[in-house]
Amino acid sequence: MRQTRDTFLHFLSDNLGGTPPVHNVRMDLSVPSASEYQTNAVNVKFIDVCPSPQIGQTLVEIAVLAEQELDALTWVKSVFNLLSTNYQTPKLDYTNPSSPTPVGSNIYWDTNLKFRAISDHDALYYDYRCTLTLFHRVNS
Amino acid sequence: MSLAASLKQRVNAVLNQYAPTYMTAYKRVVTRSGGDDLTGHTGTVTNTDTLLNPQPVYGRALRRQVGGTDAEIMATSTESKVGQLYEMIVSADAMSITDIESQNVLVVLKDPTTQEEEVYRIADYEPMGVSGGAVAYLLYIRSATR
Repeated sequence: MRQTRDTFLHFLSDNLGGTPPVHNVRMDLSVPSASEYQTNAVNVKFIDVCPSPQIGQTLVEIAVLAEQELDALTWVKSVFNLLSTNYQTPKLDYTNPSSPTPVGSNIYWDTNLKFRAISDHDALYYDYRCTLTLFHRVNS
Repeated sequence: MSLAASLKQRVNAVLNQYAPTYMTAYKRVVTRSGGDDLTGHTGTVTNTDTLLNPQPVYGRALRRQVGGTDAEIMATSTESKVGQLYEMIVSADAMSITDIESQNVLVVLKDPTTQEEEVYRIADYEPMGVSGGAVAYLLYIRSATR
């Protein structure tokens, strides 16, 4: 399941090319800011985990936050284009981040992507979010 | 001397006089190198603790004061742990607004005898100043480790 997270994060980050940057929202005391959502970024937060001896599932939230509404819309389109190209990617082991190694299986995801606008008139940013189910083998 | 600087001197004197002695307060700056920040694979994490001078005055905010939303009770096999929320008055000489707003700055309270520590995030703050000069900050710090 760790490999699924790492693979999906890098799939987004490496293919979006830093525009916008990808930020993993997680609890990590060595990175105090990791638990906060970032503006002008694609925020990825892993939620439910459903292990299975056959095909496991991991629920992930993708939150595109931007100070400009039109930038948010552009980045939503970029994320959609990326996720709808193949709907799968080879799973890699990122224990050594500089040289990821294939583990012999893929992760794949829903074809139905719906981004909801989270409206808050007091917020200083625009917020689009979708949830996505990742399917993967749990034993690798 | 500006009014703010004059007030800050007096505040520092009061803080030195009334700061609790059962724990010592530090500012911790966390820096990372190597590893992979995106996935969380650990590189080298460096914690640099700087003693706050003057030491701040702080008091634990009770759950009833914060509406019961900020204290969590978790049970382990042998004890119950309670997330703590402190209100802390810190001099502008000890921490700057840049420190307080930094994503990589934490507050650490250490037992001076055992050196056991508890780490706190700065959840919110209120600046206290006069005539455009900072005098002190009221920090709301919430424990990151129970």
